[in-house]
Amino acid sequence: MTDAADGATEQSLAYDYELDAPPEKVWRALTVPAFRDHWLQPAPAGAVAEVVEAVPPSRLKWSWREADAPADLVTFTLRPSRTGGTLLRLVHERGAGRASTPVAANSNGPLAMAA
Amino acid sequence: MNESDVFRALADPTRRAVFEKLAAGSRNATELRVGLEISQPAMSQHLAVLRQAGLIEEARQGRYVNYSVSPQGLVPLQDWVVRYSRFWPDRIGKLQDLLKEMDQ
Repeated sequence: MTDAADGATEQSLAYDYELDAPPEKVWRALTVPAFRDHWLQPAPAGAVAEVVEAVPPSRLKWSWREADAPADLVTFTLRPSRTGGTLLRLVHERGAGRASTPVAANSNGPLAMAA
Repeated sequence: MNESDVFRALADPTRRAVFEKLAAGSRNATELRVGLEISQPAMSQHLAVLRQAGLIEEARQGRYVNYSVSPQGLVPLQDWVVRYSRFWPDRIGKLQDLLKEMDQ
């Protein structure tokens, strides 16, 4: 049997937020481990995130893996708002993580996030 | 059954096709092979994976085993949606709190 990574059930969640801080600051909150852990923990079901793409301060992708499940893909897209804040779009795609190869540059390595 | 079993079972295109056929009505293994280029042993294996994932049920009827979708089979996938539908808004709320505390 094969384990095709072709979108399978095509489940995804998307959220849009307007944050009262510029993209550079939001970027730090998303990527500096101490800041990130502060808002992200605890992750559900022993999820482990790994940076697969980082384009500061506009796009961040995590491979998001729960236990032994196929990896999901979590994408943060940041755009400056007209009021000096940030328009944040968060997309969580189930099972999509496998499709992308980890990028060596800017990779912070695996981030263990104990639930 | 758990989410990753369900997800893996449905990640395979053939198993997805089999599951979709069963969603339209119960069938035996021979009927399921119609339109799919797949051997009987391979079909048996796919059916076993679907059954172990809790997606389908089997009922013996004379010489045949009839397969049908399990009503509870997709519940784990719904659980995923429910879990993250709560998780992300909660965490982005915490992120907003953190941004207020951080120095520029």
